[in-house]
Amino acid sequence: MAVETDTDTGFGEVSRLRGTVFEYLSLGASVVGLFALAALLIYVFVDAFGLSTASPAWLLTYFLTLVVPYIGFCLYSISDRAFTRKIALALGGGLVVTAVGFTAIETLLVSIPGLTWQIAYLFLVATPVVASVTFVASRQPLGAAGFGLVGRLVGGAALGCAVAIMFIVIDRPLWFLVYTFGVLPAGGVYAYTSRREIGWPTAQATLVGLFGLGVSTQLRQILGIYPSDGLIYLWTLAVPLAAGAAALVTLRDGSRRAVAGVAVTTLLGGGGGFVLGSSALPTGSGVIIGAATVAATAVYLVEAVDNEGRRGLLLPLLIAGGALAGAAVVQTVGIPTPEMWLTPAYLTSAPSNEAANAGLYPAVVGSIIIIAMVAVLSFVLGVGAAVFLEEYAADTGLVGRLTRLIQINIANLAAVPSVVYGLLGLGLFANLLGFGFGTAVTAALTLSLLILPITVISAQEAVRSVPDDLRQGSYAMGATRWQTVKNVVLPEAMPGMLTGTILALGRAIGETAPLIMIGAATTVFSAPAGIWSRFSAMPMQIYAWANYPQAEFRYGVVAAGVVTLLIVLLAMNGTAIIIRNRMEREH
Amino acid sequence: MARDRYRDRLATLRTDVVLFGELVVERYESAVAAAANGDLRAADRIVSGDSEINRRYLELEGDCIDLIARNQPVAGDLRLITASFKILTDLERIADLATNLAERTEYGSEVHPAVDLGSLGLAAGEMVAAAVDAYENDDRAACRAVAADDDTLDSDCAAATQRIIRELLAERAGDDERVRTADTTTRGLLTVRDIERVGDHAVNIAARTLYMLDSDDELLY
Amino acid sequence: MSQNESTIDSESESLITTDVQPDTTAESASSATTIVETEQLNVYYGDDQALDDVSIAIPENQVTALIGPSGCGKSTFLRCLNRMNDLIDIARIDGTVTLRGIDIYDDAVDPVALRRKIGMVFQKPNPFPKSIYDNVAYGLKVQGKEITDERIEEALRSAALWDEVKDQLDQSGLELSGGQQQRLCIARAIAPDPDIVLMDEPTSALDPVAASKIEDLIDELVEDYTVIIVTHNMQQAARISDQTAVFLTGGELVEYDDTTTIFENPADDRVEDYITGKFG
Repeated sequence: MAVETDTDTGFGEVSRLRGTVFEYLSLGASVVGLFALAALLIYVFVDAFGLSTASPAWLLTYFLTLVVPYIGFCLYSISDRAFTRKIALALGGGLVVTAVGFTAIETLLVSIPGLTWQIAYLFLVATPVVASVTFVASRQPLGAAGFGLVGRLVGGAALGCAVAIMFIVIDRPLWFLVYTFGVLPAGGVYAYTSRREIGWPTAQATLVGLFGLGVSTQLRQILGIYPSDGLIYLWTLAVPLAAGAAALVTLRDGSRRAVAGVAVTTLLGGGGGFVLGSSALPTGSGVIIGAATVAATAVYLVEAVDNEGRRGLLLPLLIAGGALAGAAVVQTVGIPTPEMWLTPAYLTSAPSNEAANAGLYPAVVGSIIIIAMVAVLSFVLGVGAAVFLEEYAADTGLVGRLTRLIQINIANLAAVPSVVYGLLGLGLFANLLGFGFGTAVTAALTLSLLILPITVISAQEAVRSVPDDLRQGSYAMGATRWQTVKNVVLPEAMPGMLTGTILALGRAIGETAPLIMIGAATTVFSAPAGIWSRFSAMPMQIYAWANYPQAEFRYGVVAAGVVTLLIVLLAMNGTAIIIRNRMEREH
Repeated sequence: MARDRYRDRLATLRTDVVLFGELVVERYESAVAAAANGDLRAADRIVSGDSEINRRYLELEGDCIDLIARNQPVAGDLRLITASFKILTDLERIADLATNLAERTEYGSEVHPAVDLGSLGLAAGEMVAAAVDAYENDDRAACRAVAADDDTLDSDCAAATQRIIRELLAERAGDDERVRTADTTTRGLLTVRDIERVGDHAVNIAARTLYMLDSDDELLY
Repeated sequence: MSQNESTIDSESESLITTDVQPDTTAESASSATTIVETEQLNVYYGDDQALDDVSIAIPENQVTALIGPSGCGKSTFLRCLNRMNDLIDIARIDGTVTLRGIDIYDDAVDPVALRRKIGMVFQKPNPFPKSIYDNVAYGLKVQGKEITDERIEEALRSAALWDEVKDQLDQSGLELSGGQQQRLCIARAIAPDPDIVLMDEPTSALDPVAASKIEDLIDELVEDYTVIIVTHNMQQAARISDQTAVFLTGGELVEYDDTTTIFENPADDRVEDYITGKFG
């Protein structure tokens, strides 16, 4: 506009009307998608946990035993009177506003299906409040200690579960032999030669490892008796984990007692898992989960008990105690519990024709195994392609033109519909190469191809973002191209490459169409026993359930599946973010 | 300390100027002695040594130009170099005056009976030596003392001039004698004037030194 | 009297000996051995000519500065000496460059092996995102030389950085200040003990104090290495170099002489105009 009018100041005035309108339109554009998704997620969560059937008394009980103590802990950790007052006001004021507003809308305008004002309060007020106090408290020593411990408990257990699931499809006796005769001697050779500074440690260790691998595959044909899976896990995973944890504590200047303590408790954790077992996963998996959880926690505790805010370490007890107390109150007073769909039983049992018995276990295992394979494949291929295109391929001449052609086509491949990739997988892997219809290998290869363009493009972006100064510096030192790539480009680009791959994996884990094309089963009743067996994945199973005639399936069971899928996705992304941040901090 | 080589070169320049000053003072004192004693051989050596002095003078001047061209001196450093540059000129002039003295030396005779060349010449030489010392040691008081001494020297020189004129007026001699008297008088007057000028150059050196130290131009006129 | 005379003589002799400067005199330049020599060196980037018939002989164990306005080809020239221009696909090089008499553009010369003889420091400090120790050890590592704590310390001492970082060798090189980073890069460049150290405007990204430290360092480096430095700062060239080469637009080497001559009495009018700031 810029219409100048004379005012007292003599400077005039400049209109900002268009700018202001544009600003608010942009704001609207950025939040509309988020609001839609948030509304959907609220309904999915309500369905998955059967909250619409929850009585107000049940909600109140758990609110008082779980949420209120948790908020109290965070506020205590922050110990800022003004902030505490603000939070109390938000909780109390929010209660009144939500109750009155919700009732007013219901009576005056429309009835809101599936929700009560208590649930609305839970999502609109309690959840944001919990999130904000958590965020603020995590910056205080007390809160940081508590969240750190909870994070390691949950993270360790999750990682243990993931590894245990991976081992479902691995030939355990062969792994036992390879570890004993290949990995262990190779590690020993590497440690010895690099400490004594003799020869080329990496080459020698690789040689020893390969020899061990050969011996193991031969022995596998001959030997008939092996230790039980639990013992194999204890020997091949818990023992090195204990050693690794002890080494980490030593590195951080832990006392000798702390080092020994961490090692012993990790082994005990593994042993404890062995004794307790696990309800759904194959026998012995408890060893992995127990050892991983204990190792992560113990290493953390060694440092945290000496730090400021160590009282925060009681947070897990507070949460567990709150949950138990809530359960006790519900039991004794006789409050009716809501019909939850997402229960431990749901995660650990096979699908069923009855909604109440339906479970997602085989699909979860299938998804995790496929994703693990896709992650390795697409990362290796993506990084390889990106490094070649950016660092090796010439920019000029015939090769340069070819490179540009490849470049353009990779970008185009990213836009090809996933069904087409399914067709490719069907034709190439299932038919031509004979990897079988609906096997985990076929699915993993197909999905890898599907996300490969995205991985390549993001990895290229990461390689390109490595400052040219560093390459020049390396070449000027007389480094070869390979030395430059290995020592400078790859370490610097790694966080970016990981981020790209993880985002692409998020897409792969949710894909359904290519899986249908390659003939993956919608429903299988047992977890896949190997990578060549037929499997089902979470999105397939959810898709199948959505077509069931019973309403319980279409609402509760599907919702529980979606929430599980989202949780696995978040866990994956979270792990990637943590790894990336660690790497970035090292640089 | 940053710019070590540059600092070294500044210090070297200063030492070189001081050494050059001492060399000039010695030459001047030898010239005074030669003139006073009528030592022709010594006087010849001084005259022929002047080219050496001039060469050295140009070298040192070149060092100053080098320092300015290549090191962009500022503030105190700049004043040191420019002051040294001017001081070198004064010293070279003093050496020229010493050559003049040597050139006027006549075998076996003193300059003029009315001039006590020994004390007058030496007084001027001491002033130069004091000024060079002041430059070497950042001695502000010595700079002012040199300026004060110059007043005494000036009046002594004026007195010596008067004595020469009086003797000339008192002279009653034959023609031959008169020619010789005219020569002696000229020599005496020129010698006194040269010595007075040596004193002035000493004051200049002191004035530049004071300017170099405190950016103080009280003695510059 | 005669005793007096002899004192004068001896005095003047001793003065003359103090006058002998270790640098910048025409004799010292011509008496030094030539380490790098180019003849009719032409460089083209595609169709653009970046260097035009440059012939120059650079003496050993001296600082040679390359100055000139932006885009005059001085950096291009520097990058010809360790064949860094090979990394640019469109660069084409004509003419000969010899290092100790060996033509470095001969087919038998491996550019990677050549670069191991020549250290290089860049305009922007570019330490690797590794620890200080690993940064200095990088050259030794990629060149397959033995990495010892002594060599690392020696390189850091030569780069006048040891006292500042000796207690934090495990810290990232990026945590140092800009000037320290540049000295780290110099330590990195000299750790494998090259013949020549090339510097491409090493102080232009630094503050004056840090820049002055680098200049002092160059003064000391030249005792063991031949330093060839590109700088767009004429005063810096005047301060630190023994020889100066002036490039002007079009990649032409206009004048090459003792730094004193270039800055006090240049032969070419264009050089006079350039260094007096009348153009460029």
